[in-house]
Amino acid sequence: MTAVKPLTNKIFWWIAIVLMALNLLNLLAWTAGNYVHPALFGLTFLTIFAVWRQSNTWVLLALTAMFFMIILGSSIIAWDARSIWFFHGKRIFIDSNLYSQLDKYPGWSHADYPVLVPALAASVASAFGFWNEALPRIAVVIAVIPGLVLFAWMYNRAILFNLWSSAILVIGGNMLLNGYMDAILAIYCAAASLILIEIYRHLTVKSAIQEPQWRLQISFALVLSHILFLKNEGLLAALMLWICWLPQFYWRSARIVGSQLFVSLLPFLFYFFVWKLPLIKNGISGDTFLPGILLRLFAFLQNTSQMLELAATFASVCGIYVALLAISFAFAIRHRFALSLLPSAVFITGYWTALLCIYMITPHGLSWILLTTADRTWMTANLSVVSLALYVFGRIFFNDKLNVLTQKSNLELA
Amino acid sequence: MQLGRSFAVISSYLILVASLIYFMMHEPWRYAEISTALDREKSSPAISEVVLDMKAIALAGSYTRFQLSKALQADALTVQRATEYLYPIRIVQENAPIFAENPHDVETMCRELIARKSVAVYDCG
Repeated sequence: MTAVKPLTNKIFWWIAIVLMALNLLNLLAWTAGNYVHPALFGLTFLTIFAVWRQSNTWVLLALTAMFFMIILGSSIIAWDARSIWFFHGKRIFIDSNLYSQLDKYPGWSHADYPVLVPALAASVASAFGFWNEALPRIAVVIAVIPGLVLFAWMYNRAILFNLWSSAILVIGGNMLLNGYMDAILAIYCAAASLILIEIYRHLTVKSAIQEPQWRLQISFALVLSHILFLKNEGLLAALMLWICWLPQFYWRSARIVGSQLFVSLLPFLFYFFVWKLPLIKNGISGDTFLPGILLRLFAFLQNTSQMLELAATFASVCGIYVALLAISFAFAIRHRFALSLLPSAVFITGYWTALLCIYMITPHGLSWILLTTADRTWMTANLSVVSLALYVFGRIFFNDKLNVLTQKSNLELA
Repeated sequence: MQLGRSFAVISSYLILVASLIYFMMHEPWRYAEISTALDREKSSPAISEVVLDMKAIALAGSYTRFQLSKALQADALTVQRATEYLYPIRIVQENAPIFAENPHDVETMCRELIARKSVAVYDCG
């Protein structure tokens, strides 16, 4: 298997960036009752044939074809998919309004949930001229593909991309296409974790300090935008990723701090003005942080059986990934590149911990909420661990680097 | 070393193919259904006969708002499916015709407007 030329890999980057930009443009267009035609997504994706010699291209095409077959050969069945995500999409399509759900009809449909995929579903329905039980779910593929292409860019070895694609299929399972947002969120968070590793890997290289690394920074900003607009947990994940992104300025030249900070804040500004502000204006809020948090926390801490239940669920859902993270880190320390993994590892452990805390204060019954959500909410951190572990595997066994820069990092030599 | 790497790469393809097969086998899809994907009224196992009949009644009577009988309201699945499948026809709490599966679920003074096999709509105004 020959090494991939960086020039051809840039095409993957361009495709991912354009697809992600189109997703956001589609959101913006729906605020005015318009949409981006899904054919534009298709045409952009098909430019992948420009790199038809790369095995990652064929893996991407195989995955996409399989996704389409599954989606067109079934209908929307999952509870949240029907009652929340695709119901919101149907409302956007029928009312020609991104904010249609803000009238809180019906009360149980979580009007505060963001609408990246619902808006894409509305665009698909608009392109066909009607809403039915199969076609709008193509929106899931449109949302997933940019994340996959981003990984095809970052994992420039066939073995890494093959293993990562396998991991998505096995870990994501039926959550990947059933219309829930968790697996899509997990893919984008894993992408952000990998981008963080790559940003930090080059920071002590003199040229890299001066180099804004625009390709990485733009990818990071667009990935954050997607994370924010996929579901409410995305806000937590995006804030944590952003905090883990900040320490790079310790190494950076002061000259580029301002512009990079501005770019990194754009996703949050976009999210605030396009989604949060209309929610605030309509008096809509989520249900996690209802009054009585401290009371619920104290009640949880006095209930040993609940604590054991939470710990047991965490161990069964995340235990293997905690071990994988520890092993990957041990190898990275041994091969002297652990420091560049640190921000991603902080994000992953922070996300595990944050979700543990949220489960402690949940206003719903703990057993029920764990049974129905634990495997999918922790998937975000778990898939990020797999990405990190594959990165470590690639570095050690193939002396590999991701394709973005080629300098040897001082962090590795230290 | 080269042989080992080649073996690893080939293994990764085998793992990928196995994962694809595993994934496809665990997804609830049928090849025969692909040909119906473009049908405007594509059927779905998620929609019960009651909800399909509600939609047929709503379209026949050009209604825009409905109530559900207490018995139907007690069934969370029917409430959810009726709400999203019938949209833009809305399920409301008052001042609208009532869907009921059984005449005993509505008051005696209510008048049947349209009936289908599994559900009927009543005017109780």
